[in-house]
Amino acid sequence: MKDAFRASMAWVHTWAGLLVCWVLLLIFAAGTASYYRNEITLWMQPELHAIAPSQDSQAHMAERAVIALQQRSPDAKQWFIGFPNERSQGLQIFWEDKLPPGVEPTRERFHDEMLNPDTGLPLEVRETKGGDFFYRLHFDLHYLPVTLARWIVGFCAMFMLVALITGVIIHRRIFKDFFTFRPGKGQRSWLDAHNITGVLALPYHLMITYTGLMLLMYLYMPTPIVVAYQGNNQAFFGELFREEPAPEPSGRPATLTSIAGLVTEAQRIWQGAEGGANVDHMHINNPNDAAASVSLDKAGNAGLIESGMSLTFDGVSGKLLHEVDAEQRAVVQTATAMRSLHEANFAQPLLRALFFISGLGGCLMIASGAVLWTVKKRQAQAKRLASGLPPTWGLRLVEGLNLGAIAGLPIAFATFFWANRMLPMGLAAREEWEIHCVFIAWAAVLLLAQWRPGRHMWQLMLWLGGLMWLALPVLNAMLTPQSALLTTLQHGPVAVAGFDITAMLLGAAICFAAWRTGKVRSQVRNPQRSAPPELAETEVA
Amino acid sequence: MMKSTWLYLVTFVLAYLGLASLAYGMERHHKQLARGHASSVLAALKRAIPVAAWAWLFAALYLAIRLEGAGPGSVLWLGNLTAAAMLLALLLTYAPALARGLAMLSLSLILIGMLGAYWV
Amino acid sequence: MQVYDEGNEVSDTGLVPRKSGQAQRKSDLAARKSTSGTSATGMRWAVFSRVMAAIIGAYVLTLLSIAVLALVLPMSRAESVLLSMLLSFLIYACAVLWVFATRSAWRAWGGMLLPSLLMAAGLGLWWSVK
Repeated sequence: MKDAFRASMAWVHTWAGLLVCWVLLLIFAAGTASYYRNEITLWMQPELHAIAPSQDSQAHMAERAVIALQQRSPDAKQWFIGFPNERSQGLQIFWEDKLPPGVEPTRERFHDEMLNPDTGLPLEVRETKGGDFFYRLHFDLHYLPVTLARWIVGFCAMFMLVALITGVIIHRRIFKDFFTFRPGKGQRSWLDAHNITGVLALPYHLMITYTGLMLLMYLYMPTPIVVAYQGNNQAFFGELFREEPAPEPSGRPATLTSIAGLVTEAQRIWQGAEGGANVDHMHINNPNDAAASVSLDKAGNAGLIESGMSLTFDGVSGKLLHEVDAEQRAVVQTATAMRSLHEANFAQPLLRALFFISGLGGCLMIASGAVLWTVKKRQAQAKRLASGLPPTWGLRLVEGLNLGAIAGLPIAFATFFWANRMLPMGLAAREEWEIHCVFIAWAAVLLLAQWRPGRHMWQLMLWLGGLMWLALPVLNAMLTPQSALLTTLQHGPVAVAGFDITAMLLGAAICFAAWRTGKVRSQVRNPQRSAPPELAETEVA
Repeated sequence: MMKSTWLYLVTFVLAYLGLASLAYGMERHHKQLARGHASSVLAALKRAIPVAAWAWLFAALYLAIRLEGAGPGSVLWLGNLTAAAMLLALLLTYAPALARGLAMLSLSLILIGMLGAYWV
Repeated sequence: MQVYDEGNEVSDTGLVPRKSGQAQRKSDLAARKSTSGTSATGMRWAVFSRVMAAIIGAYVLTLLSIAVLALVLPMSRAESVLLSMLLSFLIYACAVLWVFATRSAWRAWGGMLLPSLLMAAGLGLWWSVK
């Protein structure tokens, strides 16, 4: 009975994992990169590298942001001001156009810009999506309608959750094999690699998968809101976070109160609160209208949770309308903590690095699991292959997809950064082209992989990917000398130096993998070494 | 700032030491980590070291929580365990002598640190 | 020679009966996947049916049970909705595992549909009373 149960779970693990592994790898890799979303954006905007962090007060910055917003869109529906923090040095402004009634809202109504916090002038930077590309890719994929993409991602994540649980059930020797990796032994080694990357980061994998599903649960699991709120999501969120709905514009113009004054007032109220008294961001609803209101959200965390404290003022009189204190309700705290865990918002740099390492472990777990399937299948088809027949179409397809998805991934991601430095500055839709380059490169690898999936191609692609990453700091130093590693190591920004070093480490690791792939092959050629059969068989492909 | 950065490193060192001590008691890794002991000492150590492992791991948890508070501290602890375990697994595979050396170094650092903290 | 792993390999069996001795201990899984004899086609259908029960049946069961939970949990309305949504993926995962662990595909469907029908009836009743 017990064996039969385990066998069923093994079946589920294998097929649940195999079906979604390639998309899952993309999701995991993009998510892992997103831990350094701001740092990646900074690396991709070398024009900002020489700018020192601003020492000015938030009140002054707010003043400059308001001047800029008044110039750009005095009758917007709402304004948003995001203040600089340790991870992002620009002053961010954002506005939403007021639409005439009956017009279908599209993304076109949103605009954003980065300002120099000390001058209020727009920062002249190259057009790039930066780290936001990976962040969006992580749950919206690309070239797909957003809702469809999120359903695909949710589907894959649910499979991942099932694969994780079944993986724990079928792993008989979690503790005995805890530190065990036996390289150069074919199937045994792939299983070891899959186990070790899975088990050692298991708390992370479970946490990230569950909290990831949770972030979009309103989409996937709508029935509670349907029965309790007649499907009105806004009503639910409003009640949950005790938000007052933003007032409708009155249509009567009025002079906006001093925004800088409100910032100072908020900092006074939050004096002594956990995580400091600074403002993280603020919204100005219906600016220059008699029904204007201003809400400010506090920066800093209280433990795992973002502070959650906010203040809402009347936008004309400047009177305090509404105050949200730190969250007390256990369920809401749990949900907020889970969200925060997923996004690692609370994490200082060292902890963030640990999240990044665990994320890489997840990528390796998925990749090694995918390869393990083909290694086993080759063994199962040993007789057929030995008699000179080609592998079954299923095996060949999976081998091609594995090669394209796994070896293609580092190439595709590196292409993004290469394109960032190499595409001409004036190119129309430059930021879109950076992304097209990623998918063109990836498609090329996928096609080559289907054409000739085999050890040679693996080696070639891994070398290519590894060298592209290794060469990134060189490219950076050549095309943007002011951002070269030697300069950034001495004068900062630290994030840019960190990016270059990480790129080199990743490149070295991929080159190592390429070198190992070649080494195993030369062992196979040498019959005295008694190579595992499935490696010899790979030569057939 | 500088001081607390060192303490983060200590969390990692404690995690590594704890996991290496656990591995010391495991059939497969005992020989890799135990070279050089006399056999009678070995038998005693083989029982004692894995017990001490839990002390190191709890010390790491305590330190992490002191540094970051309960929530982020436990996350920091788990993250350190994962990273230290990956390092240990790699070293045991490719350079067991280095794994042992690093464990001994960690142990001496921790003991010196404890003595130092006691004196200061 | 390749040393065959003693235990924890990931099995890819269940679809086609194996001839070799190595697959012996897995053969009862093959039987469990099927309720209508041991023909390969029948087994394929049984597996397909279970997969559908896991993806669709378990999803419906989850949607209904969290709807009920949202109404009966002893908290404020917003909190019970939030908590039931937080638990949803746990419920879904457990249901999926049960679908594959249970004896037959028929039982799997029964286990998904019967409670679903009960809860749907309960929700319908609640809706009409309200």
